[in-house]
Amino acid sequence: METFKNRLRDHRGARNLTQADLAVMAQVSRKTINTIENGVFVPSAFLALKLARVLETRVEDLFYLENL
Amino acid sequence: MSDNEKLLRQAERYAGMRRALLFINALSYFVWIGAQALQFLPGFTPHQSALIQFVAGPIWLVSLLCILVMGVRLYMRRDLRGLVDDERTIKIGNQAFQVGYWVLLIGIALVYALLFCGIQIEGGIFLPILLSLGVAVPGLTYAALYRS
Repeated sequence: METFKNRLRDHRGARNLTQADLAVMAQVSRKTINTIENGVFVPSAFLALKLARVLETRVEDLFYLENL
Repeated sequence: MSDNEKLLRQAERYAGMRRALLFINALSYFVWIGAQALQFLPGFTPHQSALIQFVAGPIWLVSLLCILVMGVRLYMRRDLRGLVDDERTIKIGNQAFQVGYWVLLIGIALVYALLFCGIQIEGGIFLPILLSLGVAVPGLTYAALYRS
């Protein structure tokens, strides 16, 4: 079985961005960023690409599948 | 406080207010329409039912108008719109409608089950309850899910 994981917090921290900054840049709510980082909410491909663009990284570096 | 933080706090105020209004709107609708069933129950008079409706009806109307006004104001604020209504809130809205659908379905099944068991229920009792549940449950579910 595979689970959806992310490194959003690491990438955001590396750019010294707060959740508020990232939320405004990606045009989503702070709660959405928070729930994605905590693995509660799985973003759509559109939002994943948008976050990757905002953080100037590849979507595969932000999100990945992990075997349990 | 940064500009982003200010903007986000404003968006969160909007979202929190809308959640509270939805909660009030759903609850007042449930009481307003559901109170119609009270007059058919023993111990309740039509006057009591009318009194409850007289209080709950205006609350529902005012909260609905506030939600609509907020919706228009939010639509005009392009900088805030995405911060309040994003794909997570759309997902929550869909989940709320699904919960409403299942509650209605189970409610109707219960009515049929009672009829099957020979228990007669007045249409005047179950129709207002089902109608009010159909409207109130999605609103209450949205308010509950948005917070979590």
